[in-house]
Amino acid sequence: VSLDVESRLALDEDEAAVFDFLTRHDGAVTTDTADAAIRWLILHPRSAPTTETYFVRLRWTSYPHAAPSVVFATAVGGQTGISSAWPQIPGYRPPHDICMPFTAEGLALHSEWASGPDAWTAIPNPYLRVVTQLQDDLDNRYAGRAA
Amino acid sequence: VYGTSRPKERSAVTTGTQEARKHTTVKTTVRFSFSEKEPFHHDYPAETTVGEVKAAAMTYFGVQPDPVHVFYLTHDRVRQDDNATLASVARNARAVTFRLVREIPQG
Repeated sequence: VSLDVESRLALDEDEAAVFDFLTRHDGAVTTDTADAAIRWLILHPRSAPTTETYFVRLRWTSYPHAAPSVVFATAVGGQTGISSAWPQIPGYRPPHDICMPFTAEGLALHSEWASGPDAWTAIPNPYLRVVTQLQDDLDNRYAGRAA
Repeated sequence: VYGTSRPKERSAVTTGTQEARKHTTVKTTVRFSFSEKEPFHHDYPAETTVGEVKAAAMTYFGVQPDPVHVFYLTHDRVRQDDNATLASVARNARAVTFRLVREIPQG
C-alpha cells in the first residue's frame, strides 16, 4: 500500500507529538522501511510496565482523512493474526480487529459511527488520538494477555 | 502571666482545629489522558462523593457528558462507583489520585 505525498508529510508532522506522548509512557514508535504507510508502536500497560510489551501495526491509507487499520503483532515487523500478541480489552477481538470507532476495521463494520461524537475527524492530530486511545485502553481497561 | 498565656491557648486551639480539618480533607488529583492540561487538583471534604469529583474534573478538562460515552473514575485501576465517598476510597490516606476514563462505543 503506498501513501500519497500529502499524507506522508502530514503523518511526519503529527508524529512529533506522538513521539513525545509515547516517551512519557515508556513506549516507542518506529517507521517501516518497506512501507511508508505503516508505523509500529511499542506499548506497555501501566499495570505491567516492565513485564508486558505489545506491538501494534498502524496502516494508514489517507492521512489525516481516514482511520488506520490497527492490529497487534508479535514484534516490530512481526506476524499479525496471533491471539497471544493481543491484550484482553473490551472491544478488542483477538486476533482480528478492534471494533471501535478509531480503527478502519471498526468503521467498516459500523456505518452508524460515521456520524455523531465518534465520527472520524481530521483535526486535531488524529494520529495522536489513536495512540492515546490505545495507551488509555491498556492503562485502564486491560485484563491481561489474550490466550 | 494571664496576658502571655492567652496567645498560647489560642494558638493551641487553632492548631487543633487545623489538624482536625486536615483529617477530614482529602487532597484529590484526577488525570485524563485525552487532555493536554495539567492534572486536576483540589482538596475535598472526605464525605465528598466520587461523582462530585468526576463532575468537577470533567468541567476542568472541558469534557461534556453525552449519551454515547460512559465516563467514570478509576483508583488503582479499579472503577469507582459515583456514590462512593473519598473517605471510603482513600481509607486512611490524606491524598487520592484518580484517572478519568472515557469509554467509547464498541462493536
